[in-house]
Amino acid sequence: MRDRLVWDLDDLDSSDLDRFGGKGAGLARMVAAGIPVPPGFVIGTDAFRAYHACGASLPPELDDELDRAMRRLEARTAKRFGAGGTHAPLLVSVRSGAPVSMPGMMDTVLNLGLDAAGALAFGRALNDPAFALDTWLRFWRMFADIVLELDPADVESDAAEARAAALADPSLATFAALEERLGTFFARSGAVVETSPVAQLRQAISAVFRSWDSRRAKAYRKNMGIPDSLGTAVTVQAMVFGNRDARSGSGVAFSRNPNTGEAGLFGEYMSGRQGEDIVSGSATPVDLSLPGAMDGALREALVAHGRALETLYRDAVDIEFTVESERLYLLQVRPAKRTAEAAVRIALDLLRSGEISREEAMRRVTPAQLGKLLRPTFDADALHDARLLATGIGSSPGHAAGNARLDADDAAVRAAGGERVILLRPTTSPQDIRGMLVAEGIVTARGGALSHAAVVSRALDKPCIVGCEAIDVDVPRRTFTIGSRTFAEGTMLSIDGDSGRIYLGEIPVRAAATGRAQLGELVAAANALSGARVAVSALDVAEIARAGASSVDGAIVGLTDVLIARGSIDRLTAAVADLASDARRAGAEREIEALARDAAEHALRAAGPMPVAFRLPSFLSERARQIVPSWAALPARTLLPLGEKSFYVPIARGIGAAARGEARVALLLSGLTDVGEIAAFRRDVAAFAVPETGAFLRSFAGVQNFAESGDGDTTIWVDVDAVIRSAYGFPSELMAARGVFADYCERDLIGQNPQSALAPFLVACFAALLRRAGPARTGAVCATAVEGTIATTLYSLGYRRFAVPANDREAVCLGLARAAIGVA
Amino acid sequence: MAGPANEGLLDEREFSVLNAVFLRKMAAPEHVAQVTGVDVADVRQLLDDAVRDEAAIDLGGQYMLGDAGRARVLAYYDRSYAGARASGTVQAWYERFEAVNAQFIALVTEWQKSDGDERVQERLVRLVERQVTALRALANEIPRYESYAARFENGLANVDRGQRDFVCKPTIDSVHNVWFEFHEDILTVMGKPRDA
Repeated sequence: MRDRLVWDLDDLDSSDLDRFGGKGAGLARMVAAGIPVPPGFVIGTDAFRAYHACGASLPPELDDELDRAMRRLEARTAKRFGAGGTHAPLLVSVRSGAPVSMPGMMDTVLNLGLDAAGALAFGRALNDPAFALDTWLRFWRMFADIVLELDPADVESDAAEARAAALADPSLATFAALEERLGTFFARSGAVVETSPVAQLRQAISAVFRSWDSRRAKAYRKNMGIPDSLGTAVTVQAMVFGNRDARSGSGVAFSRNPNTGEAGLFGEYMSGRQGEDIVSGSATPVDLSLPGAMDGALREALVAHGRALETLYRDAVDIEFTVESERLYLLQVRPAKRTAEAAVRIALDLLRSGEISREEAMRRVTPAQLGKLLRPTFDADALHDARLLATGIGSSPGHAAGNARLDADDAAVRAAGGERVILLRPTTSPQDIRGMLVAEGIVTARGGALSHAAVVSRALDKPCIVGCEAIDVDVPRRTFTIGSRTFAEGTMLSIDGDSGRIYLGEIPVRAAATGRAQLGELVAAANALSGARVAVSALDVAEIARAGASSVDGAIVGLTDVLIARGSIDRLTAAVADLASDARRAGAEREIEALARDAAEHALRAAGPMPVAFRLPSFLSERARQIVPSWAALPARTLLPLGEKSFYVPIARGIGAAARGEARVALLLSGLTDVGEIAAFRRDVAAFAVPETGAFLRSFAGVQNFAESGDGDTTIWVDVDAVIRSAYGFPSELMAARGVFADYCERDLIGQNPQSALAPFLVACFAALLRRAGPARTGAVCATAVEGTIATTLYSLGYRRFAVPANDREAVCLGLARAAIGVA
Repeated sequence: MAGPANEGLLDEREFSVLNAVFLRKMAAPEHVAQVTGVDVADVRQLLDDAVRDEAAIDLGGQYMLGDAGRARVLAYYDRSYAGARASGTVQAWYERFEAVNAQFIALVTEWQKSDGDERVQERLVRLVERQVTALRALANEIPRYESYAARFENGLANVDRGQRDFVCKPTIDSVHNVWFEFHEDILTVMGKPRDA
């Protein structure tokens, strides 16, 4: 006996994805789980193969099976297919359903089953001829678009007159005239069209099979290595109508609140309406949480189905549903769209309830969502005091401050020099891209939410305000005027891309504390999965305090930065200058020790019990040149890490005193290049009770030397950005400039951006260091770990200790966990 | 001032290079070579000639047209497309494009605001596919529009492969970028360039 080609939804093996496709198998799984879906059947992929064996035409053996399947559908729905008259007409949807979902496959054709007489009967049955006409023409638009590959807008405009006539006077004559008009249009377009629903159904099924070989689908399969022989199934389902009578309606529901992630049914319902009415906004739905929004028993059923579907999908779902004469049908179920906040909450709730694994939880929150949650916002106090200048249309969210620049090229030059700029233009065009790329935010005086500035800013994820007509931008004069006040270019502005508000002056932006608070548990799960320990590379004591309060693994901080925060850096540089004088040397050493001790105590108090590693100040760094006024007068040997014993020994003594024997304190010798230096350093400071000493490598030479002859017993932190800089010979200004390397790459002048990906010679060098020193004692300090692949590359080499900027830590932790399970 | 060299009419190849810069406002030779099919060394040569003639400005690897360059490009359009402007077919085609353009921009915006919703993306891709067909239907009138069709197809194929940057990222040959350039192009063909 030959195999069947057609299977009812409640009669097929939902595990047989190859035969029934993703769509059909998914529906069958829902039926098996007791979810009410409109009745229907699946034409399996065997029929697809038979179609090809018949020279791309429907195989004769399908006829009989298709016919019987339609009879069964008629019986279940008590409707008749393809016949006008007294019965309510049976309308069906036709969908493609390949075992693997892919672009370019035929989209859904809805409402198939009407001809002129049927549409008229349908209108009479519903007592709503206008709806019947809409339904029928909607079918024709979709059929034209999807099956005939014609522009649906043409169908619409060509048939407009005949449609109006049919609406004004619903009769067989006017409906038939409309049908004829459509027929003439299709014939002129070279399409073969039949008006009988039976023939249309066959055409739609053929179109599904044909779409397997669409240009898009073929290109996709080739690219993804999906065999062409797989083929597609076809799903045919009865249409149900929420406007059938007073006991009908349509709605959309979420199994959890898509804005907050809170558990519980969320959504809306419209009595006596079809689903399109919600989408088109032609009627106002009622909130499902309100009492009496829909029939209580049906609502209960919906809640129960939502739970069952969450178990099937192991995720929050959104559901399109229709009630037809008191019967509930679920039409479309998908994992729910959600805000970033909801994504985190849902992932954590499902992880806690054991519904999903840790790995899965990491997949459920994307880096982009995390970025949104952690997007910096205006400091609340400063915002309160800020002066509002003007309000436009907020068209790309985010808060930013910078000085106003009226010319994109000027903005690009200034940003490359490290300035933060807001691009303020009458409008933008592609000419302004360079400026937009580097600006903190964009403001235009003209244009709406669909303008170039709005579209491009959203693509760049930058705050943008458009249509701020209160601003008059005078580019030649380099001024802008708001009301009676004229401002010079360069005026500091702060903008809120959500509310469209523009403020005068700089409102500081702060890391979003609210978003961060929810992430602790997710970050813990991420770290458990990746096995990585991610410390904070702190810029000041406040960051150490915040890290300590949120149970971070540890912090690395430059002693210089703490001294700056304490206001004692000038005293340190003065003391260093005094080291050159034999008379003042002893006093200077005591001063250095006291300053180091005070700074370290201060930082350790802020840290709570968290480990802190201090970097010894290094006169080698470019920063030292800027901070130390007498830098040029320093004896040259002072520039070397161990060049001036009177400098580092008192510091070690001060830090040893501050540590009071606590094992969590470490002192890192910065800028060294040789293994011998660390050994000497240890000997020199052995007496001062520094719990741990280590090496902080900032050069390619240092990494190479420790990779070749390190003792395997020293804690090593590598400043990855500094090593890259030293390997290429780039100055730090270049590394800090925005967009410069990206621009250079764009022009194909260099193969890859050295700031976002490690070159092979550096990969080899970092790998060698890890082999020598071991993953427990070797850490990477990554200043730009969020963008690019450097942190994940190091992770894949086996690095497990990282230190990153405080604001990036959550994103890095999630990124490493995702790298651990192989998702981008 | 305009000398004898830059009063000469542009030939097709010169036009294609200068027009690529005109449409993109500011372009690197590599981009011009990619969209025109002209060898990058030749592009550079042509653009450097244009700089010498004061028709273009070199902004350190990126080129912009000066007033003289813009005038020459516009003169080529005027000369080559006088017939097209008078043609009912092209006029009708253009009017229709403006309607599609409004749909396109609205769809891109909806796509961005919905975090790249799959259904919106599908509608967007289908709209651009129809635009590709429409461009090829105009091939008799304006043969160089085939290059837009090819660029759109390349962008769509990337989108289908999950490279969603090819929807509207401004720094690559994304569908939105190609669309924007094409819009500028057809406006100029019809004799209504945006910023002339």
